[in-house]
Amino acid sequence: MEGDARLFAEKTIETFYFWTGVLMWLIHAGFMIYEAGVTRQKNVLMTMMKNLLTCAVVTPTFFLFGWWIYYAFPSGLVPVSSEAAGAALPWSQQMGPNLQDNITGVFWFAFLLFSFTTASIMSGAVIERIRLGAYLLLATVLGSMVWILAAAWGWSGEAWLYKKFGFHDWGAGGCVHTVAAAFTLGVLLNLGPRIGKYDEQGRPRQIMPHNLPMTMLGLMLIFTGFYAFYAACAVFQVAAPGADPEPWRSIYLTPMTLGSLAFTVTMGFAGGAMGAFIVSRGDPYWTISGGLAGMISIASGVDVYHPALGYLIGFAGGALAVWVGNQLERRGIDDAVGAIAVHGGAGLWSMLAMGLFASGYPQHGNFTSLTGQLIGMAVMVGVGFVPGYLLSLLLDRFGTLRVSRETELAGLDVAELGIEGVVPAGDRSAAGPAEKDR
Amino acid sequence: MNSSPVTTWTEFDSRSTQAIFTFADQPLVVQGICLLAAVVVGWFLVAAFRFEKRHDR
Repeated sequence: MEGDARLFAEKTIETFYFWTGVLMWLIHAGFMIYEAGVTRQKNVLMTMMKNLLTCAVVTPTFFLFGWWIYYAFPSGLVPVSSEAAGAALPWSQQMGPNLQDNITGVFWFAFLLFSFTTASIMSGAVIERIRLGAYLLLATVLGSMVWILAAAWGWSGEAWLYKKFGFHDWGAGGCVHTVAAAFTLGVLLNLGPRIGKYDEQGRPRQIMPHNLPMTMLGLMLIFTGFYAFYAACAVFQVAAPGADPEPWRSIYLTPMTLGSLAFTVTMGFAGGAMGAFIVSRGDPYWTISGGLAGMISIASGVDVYHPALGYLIGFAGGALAVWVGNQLERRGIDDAVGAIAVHGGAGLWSMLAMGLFASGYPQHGNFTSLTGQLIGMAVMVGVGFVPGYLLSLLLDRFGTLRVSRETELAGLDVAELGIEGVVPAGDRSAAGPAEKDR
Repeated sequence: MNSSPVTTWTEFDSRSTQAIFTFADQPLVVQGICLLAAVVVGWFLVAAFRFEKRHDR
């Protein structure tokens, strides 16, 4: 009977994580629609191709080495030899259908979706001028190597930032959002702005989204998917026979409830949208982006914040994202979707807010603290920025980072893909005879 | 800012522990945070009218 109960419990856990992964695909449907709306019409199909291929290229690379990195590098840059690391190698018994292991596959799947998210954070910032091959190489490095190394350091059960300094980043405001934003900043410094983004005096011009309602719908899908993202960050464990029932636990094994997500993620969203609305003086793009910034701002401490505190932290995060976005634009950094502002600004704020407002929580052997959070912030920025900057610099030196001026002016859809993504209404001249009859 | 209502791991992981949210052992602080949140919502509602008026001009 005990064996039956155990198997039932494992199948329940398996089902839970399987469906969090499925629902997290909404984030990527959302990213695709969001970025397609932001881009100009001449680049819409290439932008969507980039989102699609992000998921395609990160999947096998995360299987081949990303999952192993998570278990092999908890202590730094030297891999450890452990049972867990061995089990994460792509040829191990656990990395395929195994009747004694219901869990590895669904854990891997959930982490894979985190990897898609991390790489997709970069994808919007670089649209309309990056070469597809360069982007996919950068996405592979970010999605299957860099973020998962940061997660090994700050998010795994043996992470050195957590073990030595009490770092607490429950919902990956650092490991996912800040790392991806720092990597993206490194890339943008080498990629440069889109043609026409700045005038002769270096003043920024606004390049309007071609379909803002599409962008807003995309973000609503991202919001929905993020509940699954956060749910997948919770650890669902089963007690040993005869022991007390196990609570939900954070990735640091501190006790928590799923109800904390329901309260605080939603309050963070509300605060972020309101804060961005006020600071941007009612700008629709920043208002909805602020909602995402709010959901990210509460990430590090969502397991312990009071909901009203989560609202205030989200409000500050939404406001901060608008300010960071404007500052970057004035300094010549053309982030087409405000990814660094939303994910980097709010991601850093998330880690800082945890230290400011939620210090003193016991973890195994230490306590959450402002010092631990500040150290974590510095590490997350460094581990993201350095590889992003160096790899894009190398690609730029070989002339493989950016499309030609002619291609950029013509639009990537026609120049690179040979077709128009969106045929203007009433102009079907590019379509064949059969298409005209539709 | 130390806001944890629990001070030891044993207390945190105990089945008898109830509220674990920030400042749960300091109700006045929680009430103050709720009041501040209400003020911010009020500010937002006023701002929403203001921006609407600006666009109507």
